[in-house]
Amino acid sequence: MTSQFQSDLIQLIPRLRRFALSLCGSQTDADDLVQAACERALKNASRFREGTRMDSWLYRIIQNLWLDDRRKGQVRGTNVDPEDAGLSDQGRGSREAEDRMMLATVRGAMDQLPEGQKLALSLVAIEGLTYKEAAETLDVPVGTVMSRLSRAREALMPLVSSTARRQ
Amino acid sequence: MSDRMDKETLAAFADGALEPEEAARVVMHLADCPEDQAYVDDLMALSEMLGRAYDAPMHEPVPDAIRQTVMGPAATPEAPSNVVAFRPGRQAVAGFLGGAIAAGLAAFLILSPSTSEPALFLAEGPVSDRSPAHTALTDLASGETQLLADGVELYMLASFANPAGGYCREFEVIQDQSSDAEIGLACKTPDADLWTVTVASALTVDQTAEVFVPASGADLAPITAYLDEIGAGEVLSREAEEQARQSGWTR
Repeated sequence: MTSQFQSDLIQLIPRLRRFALSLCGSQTDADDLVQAACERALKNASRFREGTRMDSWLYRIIQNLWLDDRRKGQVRGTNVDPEDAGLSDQGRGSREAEDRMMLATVRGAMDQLPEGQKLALSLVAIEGLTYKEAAETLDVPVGTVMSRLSRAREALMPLVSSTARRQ
Repeated sequence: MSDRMDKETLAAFADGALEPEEAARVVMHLADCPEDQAYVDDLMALSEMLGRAYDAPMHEPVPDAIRQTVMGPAATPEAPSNVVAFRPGRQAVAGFLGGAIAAGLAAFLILSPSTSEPALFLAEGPVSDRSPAHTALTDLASGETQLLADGVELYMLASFANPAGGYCREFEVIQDQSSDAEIGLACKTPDADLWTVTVASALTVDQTAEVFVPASGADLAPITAYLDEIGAGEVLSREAEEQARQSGWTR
């Protein structure tokens, strides 16, 4: 029997996979992370409060699992294989080789960011959360989200500027 | 030219995080400050690139392993331990299996070894556009059958969209006068006129169990693997299949 909780969770999977991919850099690791997060969410389903945002709750679970793995020295998110990254989008949305290379470069640069900056940038710039929602998910003040975003963008901006200059 | 604005305000503007009044103030400022306008443009370009860089999962089906974790193993009827559900993960196909050859045939495969492998009627490779198989692949709806030759019928099982363009169709070929049958997958890309059988394997009818058995002892993993490799989603609904047929299987 499928519960509403399960149905809501399965609807979120594409976004959770995207968020996890932005943290891990490889789809295989990202899917392991999402699977572990789903297991934890199902186990703790009774703790989920109706009326609150399930996506923020899942983002937080993914964040915690990812940080746990990093602290244990596991491999998720320690590197990105541009070839693998190039294959992961299977050409959709990035048909030209240069475009694929550029996106792979973005992923590589993202992977070099410190954890907090990467999380803030992913939640706001990729997942579209507001600063307040990102702050609640990360359990930090809004000002911290803004400063982490600012530093992350400072690190990645030369990439965009140089790309823009080439075009 | 006006003084530069602080970067956090510009970032908040680019993120849509400012109150309307403050956003209006930034808009006025940007009109007079090309440097800050360029910075905001770069911020937006970065967000757009990040979105594209991690966009792939939004267009992919939920992986089977994650789906099973969330939804639980697909409900299957009681069955002997050596019987596995037909094509787990794409259950919609199971309902069609065997419909053409005998009503009530169980939608299961018994995994048992076999010593011989019959020749395939519809082997891997392009399908001639003058052959009945081409007509069947192009015109049949899932669940329908068409004669390919005397005593040889093609039974259409299901259709899938290929995310890279085009479609794949899964079929059985059943020979009335023998226990031989085969299952295959034919795909068509938008720029091709012909269907190409990409995966095909032999089945044989187990007369005692009244079920199809893979003649080679292999299961249907190659078809599932191929569909997974191309990122095919769930079986097309009848409406979606009809639309695809009317469009000439191009997309």
